[in-house]
Amino acid sequence: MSDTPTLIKMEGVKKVFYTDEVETHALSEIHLEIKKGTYISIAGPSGCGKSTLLSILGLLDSPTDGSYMLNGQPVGKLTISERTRIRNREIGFIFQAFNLIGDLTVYENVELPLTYRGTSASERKQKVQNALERVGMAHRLRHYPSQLSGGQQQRVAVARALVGDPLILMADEPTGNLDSKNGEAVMELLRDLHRNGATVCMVTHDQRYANFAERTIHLFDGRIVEETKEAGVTA
Amino acid sequence: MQNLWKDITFGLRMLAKSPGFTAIAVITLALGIGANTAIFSLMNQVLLKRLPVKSPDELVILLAPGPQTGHVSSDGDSAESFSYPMYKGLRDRNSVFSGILARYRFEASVASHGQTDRASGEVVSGNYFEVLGVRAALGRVFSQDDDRVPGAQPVVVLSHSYWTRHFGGDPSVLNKVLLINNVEMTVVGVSQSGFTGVQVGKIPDLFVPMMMTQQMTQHGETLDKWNDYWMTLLARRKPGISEQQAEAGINAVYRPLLEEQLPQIKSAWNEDKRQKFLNKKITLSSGAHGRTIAQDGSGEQLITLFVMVALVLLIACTNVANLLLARGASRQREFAIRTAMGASRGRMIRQLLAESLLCAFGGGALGILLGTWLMRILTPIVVASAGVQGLTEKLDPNVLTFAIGVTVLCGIFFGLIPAWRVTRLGVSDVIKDQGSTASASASHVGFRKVLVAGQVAFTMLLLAGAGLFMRSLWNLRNQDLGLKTDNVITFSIQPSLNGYDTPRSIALFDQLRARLAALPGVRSVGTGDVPTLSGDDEGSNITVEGGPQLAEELQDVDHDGVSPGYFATLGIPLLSGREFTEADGTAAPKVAIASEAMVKRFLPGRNPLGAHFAFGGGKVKPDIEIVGVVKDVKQEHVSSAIQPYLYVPYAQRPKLTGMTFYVRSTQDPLLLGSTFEKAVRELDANLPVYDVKTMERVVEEDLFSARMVAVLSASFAGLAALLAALGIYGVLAYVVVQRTREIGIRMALGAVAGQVRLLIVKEVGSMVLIGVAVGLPLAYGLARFSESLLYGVHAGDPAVYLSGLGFIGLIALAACLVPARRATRVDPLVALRYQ
Repeated sequence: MSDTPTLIKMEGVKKVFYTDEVETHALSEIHLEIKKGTYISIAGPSGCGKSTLLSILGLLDSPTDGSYMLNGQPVGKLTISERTRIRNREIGFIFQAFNLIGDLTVYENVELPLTYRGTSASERKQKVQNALERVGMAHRLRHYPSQLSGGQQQRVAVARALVGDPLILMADEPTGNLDSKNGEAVMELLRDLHRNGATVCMVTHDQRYANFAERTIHLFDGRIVEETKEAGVTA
Repeated sequence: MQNLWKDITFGLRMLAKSPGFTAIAVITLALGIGANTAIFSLMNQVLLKRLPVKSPDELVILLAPGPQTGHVSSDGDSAESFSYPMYKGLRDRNSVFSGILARYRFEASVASHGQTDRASGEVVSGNYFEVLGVRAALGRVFSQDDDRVPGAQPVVVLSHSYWTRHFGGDPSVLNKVLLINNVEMTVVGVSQSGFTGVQVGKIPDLFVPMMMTQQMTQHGETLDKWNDYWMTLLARRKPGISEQQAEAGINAVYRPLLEEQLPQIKSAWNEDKRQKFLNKKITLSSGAHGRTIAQDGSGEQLITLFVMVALVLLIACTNVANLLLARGASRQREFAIRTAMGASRGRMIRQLLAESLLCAFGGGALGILLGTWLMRILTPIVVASAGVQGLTEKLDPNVLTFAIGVTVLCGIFFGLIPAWRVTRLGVSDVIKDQGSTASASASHVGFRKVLVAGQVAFTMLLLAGAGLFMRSLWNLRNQDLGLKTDNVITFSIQPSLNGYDTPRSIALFDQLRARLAALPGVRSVGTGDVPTLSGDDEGSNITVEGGPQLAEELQDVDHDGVSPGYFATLGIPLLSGREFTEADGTAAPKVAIASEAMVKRFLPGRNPLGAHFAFGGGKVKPDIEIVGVVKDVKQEHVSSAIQPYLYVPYAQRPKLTGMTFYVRSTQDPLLLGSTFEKAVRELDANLPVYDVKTMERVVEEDLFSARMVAVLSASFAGLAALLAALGIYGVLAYVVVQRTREIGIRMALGAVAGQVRLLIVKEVGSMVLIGVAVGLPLAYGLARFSESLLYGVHAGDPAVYLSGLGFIGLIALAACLVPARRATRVDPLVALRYQ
């Protein structure tokens, strides 16, 4: 595992929010390295900075200070359009509230990242079909999100996240809006994807689901305070 | 009542709480209501207003369509013209009318307090005022006693407005003697205030008994000839007599009168034509609005403009409805709480209607002010340029009622639909669940898009209409009139009104031409007895020696009596032969100059020079020689088709009443205006000079209707486009807010700014496409309705519609710029926090 290339490397990352005259330190001195193929979970109580860290990892936000290398490339100071491009090609997002677009069908929702990438229609069709088959939703491609259960919507969201073959899947409380049965099913799905080589970074406050990952970092007040890990992973 | 008061005070509070919304809504409505008020005021005065006389609905106008022979004088439909013997017969023998009046308009030259002015007069039957129910404000009006002996009634009744305008309302005018058309006439009365005659737009200044016709009129109208058709008749139905009964009753006496007239007809009529003549029937049309010359001339324009301006108001209302929908969506929680507290839907609708009505009243009040201001601009222009007299810029009760009615309707229209929609949500949907609110918002957005699509449709309609009218105006302005208008000034005199006979008039015109030509700065002078581009014409049938056999309707030619130098002064190219010279006088051989169109119709394939013709038909001797051919000229109107035309020397006209002078100058022709009056005064101090204007102004006045329709329709279309742009902007801004989360998701998934912008443009695209799809056929329909107002462009002109589409596209793009920009600035991280 030590020969596995590093996908993400953060050093001394800080995130400070300024509201009027109040400074809020959301993240402080985050040092983190994630190798390719790792399944990592970020755990901690509400307000500890988990989602902020995931947003920075997913290039939805930028750090106030520190360095962030993604796949060997510094991404902390990129322009908005460069970050957008990397997000589209290298990162797949899974949100707590699924964030499917209600006016688009299952097929169109999954197709969306490829559309923005300029992939040809025939290739898109093939990839969307594969992605939906991987999550067991190929039979629902003409349905609208409102016609699906929460678990099914999240499966579609997973398919959308992985359709573009991203380097890493970022999941923000993916089971947060699901009942335990559907939550388990989604976690199994993420584990299967990881077993097939996907790098997964998941934010959760639920220890049961954190245990699905091979490595868990615990945040408290914006700092990494503990790490539990299996062999071959460093922090 | 207490609840109503509460609704009003709460409504006022809510409007004050959102000053931006209130200001936009009030201004939008004010623009729509103001424009409608102004156009309705014009329409009311020209088309809708009834004559200011007693019971106008009882009045009818008599028409006798069918064969006429002899002298026919008409300023409208010649079926309206009757002879005096026929009038007398109808008046005295019928039993269905309480009275039949006769009247005829003439130009008057009035000399009083040492100066002579032109005025508009009417010779009227003795019962004129009695039939109309018009009293005297001062002195007396005419009675049957004024109708007895021809030439023996040198009395005049002044109109109230003329009395006020020219005599300062001085009562001592009574029994004063005025010199009217060179006849001493005693003022016996002033008609009641507000009476403006029986024809909209033509207000008589003075009334003279019909017995004075020969002394007042210029064209030989007589009181004894059956075949001299000139007076128009209005009658008042007896109480209880319907229009149908009146028509039957008058025709019962008409046939014997026709039989009496028939032996007087000298024309060689065959039996068929004689039967047709005897079978003529009198038809009655409503006289409540008086004679409809102005209505017929401008009705279509006014109705078209009114339709356009009503559409602008509809667009304005739609905009406000859209604003209210957006506002209602943001107040759903308030309505849900009210419902939870026990408010019925009707109660909440009433509350919202109170707010919209308050808004409407604000817009209405401002709109009425704006309408009054627009009327102050429009009315003098219409009066001066279109010659429609008597229009007032003041809002009369009808217009005020209209404005208030429109205001209330607007308030209900734009208030009720949003109120209905925003109050239909379930309480729990809104209070406990954001998701449901989102779906309700989506429904609001859908409805708002439908409203915007409607706005786009109406805007397309207005743009197409404006485009067609602008194109028409451009075509009119840029066509070849056949003459050069630059540096030419014109004026007219009418010496016959001052007692000049034809030889004296000719001498005066000759002298005046010579004096004008000698003025410094004058390059050339020409005259014509039919003013060019004034709408006047004079025509008759002609007989051409060796000419082709033509259908009866093709035998007529318009003609003008002109001076030497006429063609050179107006820049009309002489194609062959010669112009008139001073040698073409009264005693010289009769000569004429023909237009190209005349040659083409009457002398096809022949050399026109040396050809002979005569005015009239039958056994006339063609003794007028054509000595020149000139290029065709637009003589009557800029928009008229080219007609065959003949010019003769004015000295060879059998009768001359007035003359129009044209002076080409080497400088700004307006600088010469006062010198003309001086030159005329030097020859005759009592001769009024009128219609002093440059030829360019003559053309502009002739184009007034086209220009007014084009400019107003373009203004309305511009206003509509602005309102539609605001509507599109409002919906898009709302859509961006509503779709912030979606945009955030898309951006999180890699959508770049251009792709987000495209998303917004697509929103506009759907609204515009639907609007255009609906608007195009509507626009074509309106264009077909108004096709008679178009010139050189047809109702389906593709360039106009493409320009309209392009313009709609531009305003839609402009309207989506800011929302699209806002959309690209959505921070995905912030947007996703909405979850």
